[in-house]
Amino acid sequence: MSSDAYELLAMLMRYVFIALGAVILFRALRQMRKDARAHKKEMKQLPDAGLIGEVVDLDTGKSQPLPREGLMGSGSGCDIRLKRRKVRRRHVLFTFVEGKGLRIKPHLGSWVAMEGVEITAPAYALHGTQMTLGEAHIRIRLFAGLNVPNPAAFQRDAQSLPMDEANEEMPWSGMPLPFEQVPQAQPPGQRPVTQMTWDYAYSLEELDEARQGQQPVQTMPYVQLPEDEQTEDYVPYESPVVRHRRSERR
Amino acid sequence: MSDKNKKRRRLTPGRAMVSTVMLFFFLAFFLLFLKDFAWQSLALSLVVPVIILFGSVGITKLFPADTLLLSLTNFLCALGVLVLYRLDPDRGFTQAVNYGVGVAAMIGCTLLIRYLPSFRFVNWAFMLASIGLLALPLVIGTERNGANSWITLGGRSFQPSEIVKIALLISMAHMLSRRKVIFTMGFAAICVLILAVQNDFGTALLYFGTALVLGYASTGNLLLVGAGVGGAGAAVVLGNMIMPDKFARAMSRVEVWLDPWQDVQGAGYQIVQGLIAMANGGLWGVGLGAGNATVIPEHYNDFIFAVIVNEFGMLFGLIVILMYAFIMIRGIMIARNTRTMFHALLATGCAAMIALQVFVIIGGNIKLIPLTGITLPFISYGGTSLVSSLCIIGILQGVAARNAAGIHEDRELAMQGGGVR
Amino acid sequence: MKQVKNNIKRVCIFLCALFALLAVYGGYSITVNGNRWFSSGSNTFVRNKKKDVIAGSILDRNGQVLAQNDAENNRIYHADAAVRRAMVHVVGDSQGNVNNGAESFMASALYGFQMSMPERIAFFFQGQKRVGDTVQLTLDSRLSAYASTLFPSGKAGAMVVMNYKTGEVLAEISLPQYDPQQITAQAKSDPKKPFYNRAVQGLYAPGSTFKIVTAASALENFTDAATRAYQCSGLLQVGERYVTDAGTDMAAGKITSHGQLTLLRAFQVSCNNTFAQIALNLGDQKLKKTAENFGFNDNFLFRDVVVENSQYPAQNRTEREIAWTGVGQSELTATPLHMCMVAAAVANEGVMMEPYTVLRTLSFSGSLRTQAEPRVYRTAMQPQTALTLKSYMRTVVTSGTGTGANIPGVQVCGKTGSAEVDTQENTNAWFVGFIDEEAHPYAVSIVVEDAGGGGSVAAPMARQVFQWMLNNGY
Repeated sequence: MSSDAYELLAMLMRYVFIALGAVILFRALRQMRKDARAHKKEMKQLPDAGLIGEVVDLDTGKSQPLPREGLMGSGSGCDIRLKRRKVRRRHVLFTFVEGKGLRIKPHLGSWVAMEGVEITAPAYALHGTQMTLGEAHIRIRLFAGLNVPNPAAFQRDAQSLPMDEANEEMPWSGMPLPFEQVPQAQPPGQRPVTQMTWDYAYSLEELDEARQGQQPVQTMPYVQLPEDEQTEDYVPYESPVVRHRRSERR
Repeated sequence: MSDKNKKRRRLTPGRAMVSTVMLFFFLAFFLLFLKDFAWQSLALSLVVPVIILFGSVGITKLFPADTLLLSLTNFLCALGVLVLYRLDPDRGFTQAVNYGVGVAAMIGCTLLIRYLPSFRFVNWAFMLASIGLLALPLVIGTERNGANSWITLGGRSFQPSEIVKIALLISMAHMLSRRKVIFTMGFAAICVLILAVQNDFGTALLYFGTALVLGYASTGNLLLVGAGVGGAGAAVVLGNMIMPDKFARAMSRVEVWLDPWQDVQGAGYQIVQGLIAMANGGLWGVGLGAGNATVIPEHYNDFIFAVIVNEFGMLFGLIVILMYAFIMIRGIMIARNTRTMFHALLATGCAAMIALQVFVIIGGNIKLIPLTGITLPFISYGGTSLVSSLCIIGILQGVAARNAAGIHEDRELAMQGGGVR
Repeated sequence: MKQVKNNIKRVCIFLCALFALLAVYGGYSITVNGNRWFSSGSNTFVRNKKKDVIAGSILDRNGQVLAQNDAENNRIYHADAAVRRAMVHVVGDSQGNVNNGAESFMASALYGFQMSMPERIAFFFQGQKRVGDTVQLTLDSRLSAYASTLFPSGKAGAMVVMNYKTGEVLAEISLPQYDPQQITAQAKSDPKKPFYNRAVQGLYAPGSTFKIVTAASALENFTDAATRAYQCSGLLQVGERYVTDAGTDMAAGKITSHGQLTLLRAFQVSCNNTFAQIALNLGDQKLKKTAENFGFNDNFLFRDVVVENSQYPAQNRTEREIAWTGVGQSELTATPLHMCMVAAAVANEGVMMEPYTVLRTLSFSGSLRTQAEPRVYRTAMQPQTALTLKSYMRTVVTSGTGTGANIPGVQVCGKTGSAEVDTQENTNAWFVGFIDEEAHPYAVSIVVEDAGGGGSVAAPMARQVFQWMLNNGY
């Protein structure tokens, strides 16, 4: 093709290329927003994602969600805030280690006691362990199903989830897929609620109770929505349990 | 499920984007084909879109992968192949081959990050290897373009600093997640100094910036950042006193940056021709294949952005910049969804490294900052650069896969206990 | 972990800011500087495309053809050699010897780069060579030719004539000149550098013409500047040396002194002592601020005029330097175009208009492509100050150092200057002035190198230029 003709053609095409580039950008932006929304939706359905349990402040009775790793202390940047005297701004570093429990590593100069015994080297906390940080008394509570040694010497009286077809169709029974996938096999009008639960008792007292009474917990894979809420669109589900988790910003 | 949902599922924004990208490159290569009727151009116009399809959607079917990240990366890599092919077909083919190698490396990195939970055992090896590899060009290096940071092995030359980038990211993220801040910063400082001694100021600046970003991300302490910048200033002053001639070389680059028109035919030639090429392009460009950007020295690596602005226009240049920004933002989104600090820092480091690299090289092209010798990720000609950039994307994919696996785990954990209480 | 994630969010914002900086700077740079880089002599792209296009013509404001392509597609210039030589620094030549002459600076329009896509397609299908746009300048070629004859023979210099209401440049002359039609080897090797456009590239010490700025500074900073009495004893001691006035020869014992005078009188007779005192009273900071209001130290980025930046000395450390800066010597430099803008600001009630040389561009078919609009560059001073200075400049012409510029019945105002240059025997003769009438809003700036006194050499030239303009319909 003659260079003049080609030049003209190339000049015409440059608008096309810029337009296509803009379209690609626009679609990328839309994709990112869609992913962000889907992720937020998923996080709402899975409010305990990334958490492994709860820390109960024994003096006030309030509990804080426990992430997989982080800091405990009185500072504002800590994941577990304990505003007491003698609790340093960054008191301990904790990390969840599979198979061993919650590894507590006190910073230099922090006073930490586990089950009444002062520790100076990193130690592992399990479900129900009581600890003292400075003047704060806390109890660690871990979710059921985590890979930790069981604190209480009782057999889990677990009724495992009925593995019916509804379960098998659940998308999360397959490969882990990123944000794009949305759970499909839902019966209309119902939505699976996947909230973490504790070990089969909510406290050590209930643990004893459970030990004695051997009461299995009623499990329901789905929650039946009331008639007027049976739409395909997402309706935020208000959990009757543990409202403070809602306020955690993720 | 209704028809509407099925259709929505088929044409997700992800797939629409991939099809637009395929269309773009089909048109581009076909246009080049119309220029001189070379059969290679026609072949590429059919092959490249297919590779893009495979690379973006096909890989997703085999491995867990983040499609958006892949699509953007593939667009940029294909743009690189396109522009390099237009400049010199041989370069285009070499770049395509490197792309293939890079994708394999990317998948390798993804799997590595996904399945290896902790780098505790290899950390020390990484750090020592980093310092060793960085220092190697001082011993057996060959100089190129004023930077003494290349090694020639068996006829092929490569830059060890590109390989070290990955190890540096992993080591730094690991050490910072264990709160060993001072040690990490010291290690980073040593690496930066070695690079500065080799006159590779661009990569030194890159490492420096990434180290500061990671330092801030892990501690939140602006004083640390200030100390880092202050330390760099002190090192510059010290360097001036100890090695004045090297400092003079660096200062000459700053002078050229301030007023390149003083020495239009000599030291300022490269940047002046780059600016002229961009001015020729204007907002809309002169058209693919119709520009004469080959007059710029190093037009295929340092000034590839100027070539793109020349032929596609400044508006398209802005689009490219935005694409890099989207990749960075996606990386940050991945970093914020992680469950461990190590992976959060790793993903942040990757995003920051790409972002900073883009800033430094494009900044040098448009005379925002002095010109340095680093490459534009994915687009510039250079095997090691392309492979290491793809590895960084692979690391991001690995972290993203890990995030998804984490959510999967959390769901299982929740299901174990049962439902509501 | 929560803290880390917050930090990561802040890192993201920082990196996004970097990208935004990149995008904004890139867009801005290309838009503002694009044409200058495009027109640079190093642009091989333009050179390659030139042969495919019939270059457009360059016209003066009255339609006179200053440059065009003839039948064999060679570039020819105006028929009259005197006009060619007078306009050469604005028009340029085909080899690009003049920096930023219209031939190179307006290459984008002249070589058809401004054509729209439909026009290009039309040309392509007609199979003809594309024709570039016609560029019409604001300059008047006859005025330029006439003004060039006024310079004393053998002397270099520059002259700028502007319309101070709009900013149009009517004449931009630099001597020595050469003929673009026949570029001789002698022109290339002439030590006086005929390719140099002294009107916009020549940096001279403004001499007493800078007293306009000093006076403006005094009027704006001191409430009693106009009324108080200054004392001129002929010798003002600053440090170890003296500030003297014109005509003082210490060796011969002759000292010019003006006694007690007002600011008006000092301006009228151009008393160095007074202005040195004023500069010392003001201090460097205030004087510098006023000078910067007038455009000194600014990076001039006008649409189609590329001017060297005027400098106010960066470091006035000693009193002596400050004193001489007030008088207009020391390390001050300004281009004749800038001094014309200074006079124009006084005439235009303190508002300095942006100078421009391209009136409009027309496509090959005659339709208008771009039309230049007057644009304000900056406000140099308050209207009251400008009015006062105007009256001062009037007295200079009626009964001061600039009577050579006086035209009976016309309100000519001005200021003379005789700038000393170490390497020259004589001073540079300066005159800046304007006609203070609504119907004739013209300002002029003249500098003649190595010629003597401003009042004796430059002021009469201004009179002749204004007279010619009044006689020829301006």
